[in-house]
This record gives sequence, structure tokens and C-alpha cells, in this order.
Amino acid sequence: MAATYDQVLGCLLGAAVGDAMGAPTETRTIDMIKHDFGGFVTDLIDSPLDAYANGAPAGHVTDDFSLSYLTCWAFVKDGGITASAAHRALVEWSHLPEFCDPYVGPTTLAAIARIEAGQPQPDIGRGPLCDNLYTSNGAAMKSGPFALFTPHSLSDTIDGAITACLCTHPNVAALAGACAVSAAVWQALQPGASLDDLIETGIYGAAEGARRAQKVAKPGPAASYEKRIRLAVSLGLSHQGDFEGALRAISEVIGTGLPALESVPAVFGYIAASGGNALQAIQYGVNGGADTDTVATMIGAIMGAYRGAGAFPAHYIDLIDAVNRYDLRSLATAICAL
Amino acid sequence: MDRANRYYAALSWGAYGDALGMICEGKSSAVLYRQNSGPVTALSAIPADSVNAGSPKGSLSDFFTLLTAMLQQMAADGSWGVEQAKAGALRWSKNIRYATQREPITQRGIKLLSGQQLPLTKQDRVACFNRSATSGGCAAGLAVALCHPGDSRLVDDIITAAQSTHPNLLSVTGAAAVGSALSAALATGSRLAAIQHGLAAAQNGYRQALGRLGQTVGCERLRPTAGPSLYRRIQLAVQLGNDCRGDLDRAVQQLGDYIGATQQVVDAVPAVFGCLCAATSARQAVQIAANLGDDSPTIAAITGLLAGAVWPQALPDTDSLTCIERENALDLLPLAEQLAHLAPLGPKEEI
Repeated sequence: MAATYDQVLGCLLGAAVGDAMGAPTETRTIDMIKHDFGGFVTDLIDSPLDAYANGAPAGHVTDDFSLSYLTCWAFVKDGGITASAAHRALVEWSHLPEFCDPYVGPTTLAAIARIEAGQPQPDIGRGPLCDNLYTSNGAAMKSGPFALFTPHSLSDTIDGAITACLCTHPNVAALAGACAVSAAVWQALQPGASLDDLIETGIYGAAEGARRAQKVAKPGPAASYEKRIRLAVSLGLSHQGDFEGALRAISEVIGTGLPALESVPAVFGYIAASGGNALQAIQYGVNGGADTDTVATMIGAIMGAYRGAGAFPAHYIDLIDAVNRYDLRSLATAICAL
Repeated sequence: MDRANRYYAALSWGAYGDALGMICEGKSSAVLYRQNSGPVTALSAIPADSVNAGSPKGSLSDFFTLLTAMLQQMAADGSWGVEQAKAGALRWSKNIRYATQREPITQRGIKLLSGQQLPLTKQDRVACFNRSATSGGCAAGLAVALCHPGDSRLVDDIITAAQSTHPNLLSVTGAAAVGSALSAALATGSRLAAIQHGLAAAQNGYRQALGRLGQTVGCERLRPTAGPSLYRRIQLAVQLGNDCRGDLDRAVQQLGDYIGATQQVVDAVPAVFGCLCAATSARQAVQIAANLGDDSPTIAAITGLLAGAVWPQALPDTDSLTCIERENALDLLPLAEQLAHLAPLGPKEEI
């Protein structure tokens, strides 16, 4: 069944809101966030100079959603998810200094260089058998909205996440994280889905994504997505109604950092803690410390798809469009028309 | 048990763990088990598909060689402290054999210690550089712990030493946890005491380090880092380890699945405590640690130091120790005797 316009727009808007709201708090500890911002951050605000966002105005997104946005438009142009569209979007993004320069790291730069040299995929047959690099959440951070292009099939959603992210993250653990988030978004688009369904499908997505990714990416040592997600969810459920309690429990035990095996389980833990409140779920991600924009953008993609665009304050969409020079409504319309 | 024997057992199992971990480094437990039809349990040649391919059997990683360089400096000076840790680190850095193995944050710390001016990056501008919270800082912390009387200044002195190469909140806290655990193990031979002191230091050390944010030791100020709580993750790892006591395969799976074995201190240090809790001997402890894969040399080295202090009665086999010492130009027995003599005798104050 096709996703509704409200679900599609909700997913895009949720991902953008999470990214933009988390940008000012990125890298900080929970205590630093409380101290530096006079309490928890619950709205779109300007970024301080000592965030990667470096003074960006309220509503400005980071690399997370800016990559996702451009890649979605490239998928629209190709009529669906293709590797070449993902590559084109990455190169286009690299020419946007306001979104690329503050954030780009060496592995993404290497991927861009390979694309421009006509060899987008690293040779997984070379070097050591296993790879413990590339295990960051850089694939998962952008993959949520990709599920909007495959609403009819969970299997296609998992394949799509792998196709879209393989170039920058040729690692089983990273790709499995991307599949977990995409799969959860897919489930959120299905009629009658419950929060429990989102979580279970996310777990399935990680496992099935890892199995499929073994054929195209290097294996590597990694903790268990299923065990960590379930632990995060149990921590979230046991602190429902206690914002700071849930925040600290998940941040302190699971982590909310750059490794995909911290931030992706944290996403599901915070979703469980929120009891289904999309904005509150994002606020968990924003205030959990460490890689706040990425945790929040993943939460936003899932919960925005689940609750629709109306879950967010009405002025957010126009603010985000204006500050980033985006047109989320047109993108949602174009995706729905496919 | 003679003090020197306990020190020798700690160093021997630390070295053995590191060398065993070199075989497994970078791989997943699943790959290790598949390739070896079970866990890796003995020293062997390093496989051609390993990240350490080309290194001979018995080779040690940057972690243990850095640790022994610091210890040798302390023994030579007849004194322990941050200056000895720094001097040992600088001397170690000149050995090009380990040039390609160096953990990036240790590499950066060495450059700063040697007076190099590093270009400013965006990591210097932001509030926290969280990826810097690696386990390499434990080397300096353990070196101090091996020589320290273990009084109320122990945690503070470990933090100072660890900050010289890893000036961030979580790395120095991790060093405090393992250093306090080692000090307790050497003093009492008790696994329980080691865990208790490690947990206490993870909590108190974090608070002490918070109070020292912005202070400079060596070349850099101590910076905050955001990440999981070492105290809570050690708690989780201890519980998991205790639940798997004596079952190597299950311990590898549970610790690997829940804790992980990456270079990040918030994974590596809890994994060490989990391995210590799961084992019934020093040999089993380092085998569990090595088969976690990933950053196995560091985790197995630290595990071995603790386990050797707790179970000093049995040592690694003579052939393996001889191979390790020959390959790395080490002589652990006289070093252990010097360190045991250096560390002042006396009652350990309760933390």
C-alpha cells in the first residue's frame, strides 16, 4: 500500500526537525546541555560557535538531513533508489560548503574521490578479511527517508538502504544500522502499525540487512543490534514518564555516539520512552548527548512517518524550508507521485 | 605469594594476552570461531588475512609495548610518575616497528609530547571531541598503578599520567578504573577487590576528572567527552561475566553482543571487567578477551594484567613467553622484580 502524503511529509519533516534541533547540542554531555542552554533544548534554536554547526541559525540542518534531502531528490529523478543517484547526490552535496565543510570526514571524502574517479565501490577483496572501520552511523543517519521509495515491500526497503549507503559505508555493521532505521520507517507507513511493530521491524531490518550486506561489504566485529535494541527499549519503558531518567539510562548504558551500535539502539530506546509522542521522542535524541543531531534525525524520520506532519509545530516546516532553501512539500509530492 | 611473583604473573599474562589478541585483532568472534573451528586458545602464527599480517608469531601491539616502555623508564629512574610515563612514551615512539600500529589518539599525544605543533582542526573548536575517548590512555594509568603505593592519591595520579597522552574525560576515567583494579589485585590477589576498586574508581575518578577539566598536564588541557557511563557499563559487564562464569563460548558471545570490544574506552574497559568476572583462570580470562576480536590486543593485555595478579600460581607456557620476549626484546622477570621493589610496601587505604 502506498504511503500517504502526510506520512511522507511527516517523515521528511521529522528527519529535518530532529537534525536541526540536535545541531546546537551535538557533542555535548547531558550535563553540559543543561548547563549551557539553561535546561533541556525543546525547540529549534541557533547553534553555538563550539558546535560543528558553528553558529548556524535555528532550523539549519547538518550533513545528516542535507545528504538525505539531496539523495531523495536524486531518487525522484531516477524513479526510485539507484546507486548512481546516491553517488550523484553525494558529489552534489560535496559542493555545498555550508552543509559539507563543517561535517565531512575522511571516509566520506574518500568515497567522493572514488566516485569522481569512476570507481565508487571500494574493493572489498583487498586488505584484511574484516573491517572495523566505517562502523559509524553515517549510513543510518540518512537512510530513514529512503524507505519512502519502497512502501510496498520491506525486502526492497532493506535492499534500497544497502544500495544507497554502500559507497560510503562498505561495512556490514554500518549497513545493518541503516537497514534498521529504514525498516522501522517502512513499518511506520503501514496501516495500523504499533510502536511495538516499529521496534520489532527495526530489529528484523538490522538482522536481515546484516545478512544481505555480507555479500557486498566487509564483515567486521560488532555487538548485537537485537540485544542492544532490546536493552535500550527496556530501559526506555522502565523510565516512561521520567524524561531525565530515560535520557540518562539510555545514554549511560547504551550510548548515543557516532558508532552505529550505540546510536541506532538508542533511537529505539528513546522511541519506547516517548510512548509514541513524536516531538518528545525527538527531544530525547536532542538532549541525550554526544551525536544528538543524528540520533534525533533517525527518531524524527521514524516518528514523523508514524504520526504525520501534524505531529510537529505548524511553523517548523516553513522555517526549515526558508533557512535551508528547501521545499519539503514539493519533495513529498514528487515522492508520492512515483 | 611473593610480591615479585605476582608482578611477574601480571606482566606475563598481560604480554600473553596482547600477543594472543594480535592473532584475533580486527575480526569478529564469528569469523574467529569459523576459521579456527572454535575459539583461538594458543599462540600461533598471525594469519595472512589479519590486520597484523606480516608480524611474526609472538608480536606485541602498540599497547603493551608502550606500557613496558613506560615501566622500563620507571624502573630505570627508580621513580614513577607522569614524567617517567612521558619519557617512556617518547622513547617508545622512536621504535619504528610500532609506527604503523599506533592508535591515532596515542599518536597525536606523542606528537604533542615531542613538541610538535599540530594544525588546528574542527575537533579543536567543538565542545567535545568524543572520538578521542580511546583506551590507549590506560597504558600510562596502568604503569603508574604498578608502581604506586595505592593510597588515596592513586586515582589522582593515574588521571595525571593518562592525561599526558589522552587528555579527555572518559579516557582518564577508564585508566583510573583499570589502574585501581590492578593496584587492588596486586595488593590482595582478590578478584572481588579488583572489581570493587575498579567500579569505585570509575565513579570517583569521573568526578575527580570533572573537577580537573581545563587543567593542563603536558601539552593539552583536559577536555570533556560525551559517552556512556563507564561505571554503568562496567556494572553491566560484571553482571554478564558473572552469569557466564567458566563458560568461555558464552562469555565471548554475551560480552561481544552487549559490550563490544572496540578501541573506545567505554567498550574496552567494561569488556576487561567482564572477561575477568567470567573466567576461572588467567588463561581463560585472556582467551575470552582475545576472542572478542576487534581491539583484542589491548583488551586482552589489560585483562591479562589483572588476571595474572589475581591468579599468579600458573603462568603462560614457557615456549610462548620465550617467543614473546625474544620477538619484542623484553625480559619480564627482572622488570617485575624491579617494579615490585619500586612500589612501596604498606597497607592499602580503602577507597
